[in-house]
Amino acid sequence: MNIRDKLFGSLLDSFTTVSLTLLIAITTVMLIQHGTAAHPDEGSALTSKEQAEEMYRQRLERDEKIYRDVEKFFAQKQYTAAQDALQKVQEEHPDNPRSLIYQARLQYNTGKMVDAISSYRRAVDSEPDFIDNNTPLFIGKSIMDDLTASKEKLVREKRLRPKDNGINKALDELLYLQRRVAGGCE
Amino acid sequence: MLGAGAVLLTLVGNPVNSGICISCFLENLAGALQLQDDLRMSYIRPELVGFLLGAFFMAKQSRRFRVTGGSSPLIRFLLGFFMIVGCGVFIGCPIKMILRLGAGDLTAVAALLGMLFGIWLGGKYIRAGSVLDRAQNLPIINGYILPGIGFLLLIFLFLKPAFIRQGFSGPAAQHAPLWISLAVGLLIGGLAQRSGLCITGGIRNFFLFREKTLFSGVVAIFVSALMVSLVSGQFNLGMEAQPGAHHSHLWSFLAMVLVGLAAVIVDGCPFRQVIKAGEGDVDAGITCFGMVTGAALVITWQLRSTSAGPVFNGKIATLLGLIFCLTVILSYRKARVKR
Repeated sequence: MNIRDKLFGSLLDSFTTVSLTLLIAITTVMLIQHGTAAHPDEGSALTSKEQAEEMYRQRLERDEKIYRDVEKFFAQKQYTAAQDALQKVQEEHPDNPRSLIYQARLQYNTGKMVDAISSYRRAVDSEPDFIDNNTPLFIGKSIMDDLTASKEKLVREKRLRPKDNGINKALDELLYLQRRVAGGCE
Repeated sequence: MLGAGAVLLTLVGNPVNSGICISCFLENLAGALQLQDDLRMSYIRPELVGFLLGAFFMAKQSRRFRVTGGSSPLIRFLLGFFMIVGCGVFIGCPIKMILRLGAGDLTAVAALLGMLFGIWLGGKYIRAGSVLDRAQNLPIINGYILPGIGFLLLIFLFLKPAFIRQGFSGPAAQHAPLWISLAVGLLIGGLAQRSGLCITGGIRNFFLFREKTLFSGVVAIFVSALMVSLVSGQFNLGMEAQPGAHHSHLWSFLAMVLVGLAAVIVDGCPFRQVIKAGEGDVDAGITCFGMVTGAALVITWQLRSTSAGPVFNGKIATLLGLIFCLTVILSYRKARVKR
């Protein structure tokens, strides 16, 4: 390597080091400026977690209003009246997945196990928060209680009618629901 | 430490049977970085960052930070991708498989048999000369990139910039307190670097050389997970009501054959790849990038299984993964024979 190359190489290194230092300094200053600058909406804006909590609160309040009659008749064990009230709610709010939960409970309490399991599955698939104990919507324990009780009856029926596809399918769905309610990464 | 730590993490918030699961953690990471759009699976798991940085610090401290790389990078990237596909179809990485077995989940038995078969098969091919290209020493800067990304993720974890997403329901909301997760991650990362712990590597060495050191580590994970599960009341023996499991045993078997085989080819299970990336192994870093890509795409392309079982896309991806592994093995075997 001759003197010219050495000198140029050394100049290039110095230039690179200075540029690197400058770039780091500029980036740091920009980040600090951005961090300390007042952001107009930040004062009033809710964090994502607070937003989620607020959304759940509103939803629970709304559901309580919507399903008041269904809940009332259900508590009085007037299942036909509860079913009528639920049908009315379903017509007015067709997308609310809580209807499927009430539907499942009514079916369970009127002895329609196979239908109840299917409704529970649709409810859980359309609103996984029903079985997520980190959310206020969680009702996993009551679902699991119904599933455990249904399982004994379905197993008995399967013994009587082993080739009944409806019962086999319901048992599969029940086992699936038990795994979902048990938790895990899903 | 790993087995007990994983079960203890579930007691303080991590998902049941998933105290430590590299594939689940990577899926969460991919979501947090907006590489996939399932908010319920979006969270930078501090344990993952801890594994990487714990291994980095331990390697630096014990002067075992050696920067190597350049061995079949694209093949490693794709094998990393397919390892996560296999994990997604089974629902869990090899560590989670052992944790599930330790918690009494018998649906994981088919997966265990699959992984043993995959590792045994991979071992046979290694003996026959199917080995990826030799790694070379690289300039040290290459080894700092993955730990650097680890530090960046750590900063994101604390500063929570707007572009990093975090879910507040589902698995993302099920997490241990940040400091506990990070501390456990750093500790396990450091110890795993020191001991060379690897689930598939331990079994492979046992198959190939009857070498029991790493294998005893695998057994220790199972025993400690079993004991802590029993003591903490999380043990539930059987196939029913198992969290994050399905009953398609054939696909669990095949998925873990894929994971075992791919892990033998790239020399390490997904957990080991993260540890190796921390200690300067650039090839493992490339595999990690493949794994992150896999973690994003198993969700976006719906490759992973649910409690209802595997889906068509996942089954095809598993088969493609097996085809890819065998093609790689065959081509390297032929190349070796020619030489």
